Amino acid sequence: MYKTNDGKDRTVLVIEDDEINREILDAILSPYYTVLQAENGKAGLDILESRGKKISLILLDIQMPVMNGFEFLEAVSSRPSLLSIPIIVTTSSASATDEIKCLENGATDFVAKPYNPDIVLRRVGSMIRLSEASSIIEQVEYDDLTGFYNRDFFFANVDKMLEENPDTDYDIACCKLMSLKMIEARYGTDEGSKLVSFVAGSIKGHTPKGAICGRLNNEDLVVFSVHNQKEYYEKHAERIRDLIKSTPVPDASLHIGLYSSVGHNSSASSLCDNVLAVIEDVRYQYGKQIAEFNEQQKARRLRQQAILGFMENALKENQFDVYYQPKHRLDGDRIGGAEALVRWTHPTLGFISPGEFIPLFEASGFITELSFYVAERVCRDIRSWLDAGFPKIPVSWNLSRLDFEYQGLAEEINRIVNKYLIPHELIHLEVTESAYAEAAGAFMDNIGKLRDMGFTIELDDFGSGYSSFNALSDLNIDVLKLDMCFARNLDSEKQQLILEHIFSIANNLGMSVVAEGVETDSQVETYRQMGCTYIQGYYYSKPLPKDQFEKYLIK
Amino acid sequence: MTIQEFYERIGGDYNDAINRFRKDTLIQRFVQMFTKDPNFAELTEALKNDDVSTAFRNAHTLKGVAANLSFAKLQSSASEMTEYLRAKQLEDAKAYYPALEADYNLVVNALTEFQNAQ
Repeated sequence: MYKTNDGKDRTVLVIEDDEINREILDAILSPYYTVLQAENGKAGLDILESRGKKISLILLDIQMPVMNGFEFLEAVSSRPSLLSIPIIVTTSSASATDEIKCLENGATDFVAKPYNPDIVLRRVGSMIRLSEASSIIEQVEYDDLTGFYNRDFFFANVDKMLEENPDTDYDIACCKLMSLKMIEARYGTDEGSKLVSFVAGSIKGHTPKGAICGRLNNEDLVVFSVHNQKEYYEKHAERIRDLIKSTPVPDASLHIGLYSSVGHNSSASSLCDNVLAVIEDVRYQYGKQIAEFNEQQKARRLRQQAILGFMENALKENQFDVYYQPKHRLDGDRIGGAEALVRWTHPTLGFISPGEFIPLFEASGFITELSFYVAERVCRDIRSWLDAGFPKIPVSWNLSRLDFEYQGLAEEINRIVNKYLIPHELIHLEVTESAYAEAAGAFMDNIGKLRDMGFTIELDDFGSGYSSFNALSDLNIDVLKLDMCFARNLDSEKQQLILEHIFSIANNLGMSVVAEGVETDSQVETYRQMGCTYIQGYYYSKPLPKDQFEKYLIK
Repeated sequence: MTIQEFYERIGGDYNDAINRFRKDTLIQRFVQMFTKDPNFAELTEALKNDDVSTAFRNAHTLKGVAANLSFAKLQSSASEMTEYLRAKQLEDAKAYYPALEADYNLVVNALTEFQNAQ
């Protein structure tokens, strides 16, 4: 009646330091199971690593020398291939805390000493049945449509290959069916499936022996194979592109990412992340369908990962500093405001340019925390200047387009400013058109609220991207900041003509204008003649740390 | 001496053993292994060295073995020893040691007699 034995022989591993206890379990179990014995957790782990999935269940003692039961549970929890093996802890202690600790650490059940054979066999039998039933789902290794490994099994197999063959060079190639979603939406999922299986079929036809093929996501097919000449891949890629032309589905497009001679220190999933990232890099480059992950990109990605890894601590440890760049008022020839700019000096990476870390913070969503941090710092500084009786000037800081996704952005800014009792007219907020382009509703909503609260809104980088004159009237902007690209080409007549119009529009809409990136006398003069109110740039001052800025302020 | 008599001598619970193992031969097989069980000797050594954590592990294992063999008296004294050591009360454990030793010797002596009688 205990027999779960339906022709297959199941193996139970007994991990227990005392020989008598082991022998008793062996005597109980061996009529029905193959029993393996280990005298401590370490010996048990060694057996598991050599036999892996072939073990159906583990009976584990807790108090053992070398590696005890808790340590064993912890070791198992870090090995995904072992997680599905049920573990029954054998216990003679009446300590419920021990038992709870075991359950928390991944044990499935308990049996108490003294062993009652009926109970041991029933519990072992039902645990094995249960785990086998649930693993039927896990055992689906292949993607139905393509016959390729599914994501998890692809990763597991590649990881195994890398680990078992440390001296073999491998390549990864990933084919991304860029237009799959669009095709599914337009022509139906059947057409999408047709495309996927067509491409998978042609990949299968051209992959070398021993290659591992996987379908990572709906649209990503990936091949892991022994390193070959680059020409091979190019031919391969060419072939697939030719095939794409003959696909049964219209509008198919395909990108290929290559990573040759992958390192053995990375996991399959991070290797694939790298390949998918290079594909993203060329996504919008017309005509570029093949991208290669190379050493340079590897270094860049490592640095990016380091930056992302450091950012939260950097905020806690106040590694971010706020600098102030004066905005010079032409009509009074004096300082008329300042822009707060964040600077980051990391203890090991050194100075990191905002141009480098801000896009990463935006991608990770961390940027808004930094925005609030800057807000806090700026308000604290303004408070100290007010208290010291320095000239009152408005100070601006930048809001990321991502900040507009934060629920209650305007309220949070209002809270910070009020906390330091700063008059609202001293606070300017710099926003970019991209925020409007991405989330018009949230943007307009927040801008409206911020203006109602008495804050001033500056439109940053105007003229740098696809600026639209319509935006000027739509956006409820108080100040227009001309991108530094205007200052660079100020001698061009056409440029001047455009600028004159911008000034005229700004004037008519009641906006003042700040010209950025101004470095020379003649640039100042040209802007002055156009009726520009404020100049920001190295001509007057570079961004200054707080103490130096204070000297500038009282000069 | 029968196996039943052996259990009576040592304050063991033969009924529990036979209920669980069903056969005298099986009980005898396990019981005879007990002379080779290192836990008591290791516990003695660990107590001498004031090594509380090793002593705890040995006492705990001894308690489990005694429970499995239905050596009720030894199980209860091993259990008491385990609790002193779990609480890291080394002096109490040492003071209690002679009682545990007496129960252990009772088992080992009876076992030798039993084996000689076979």
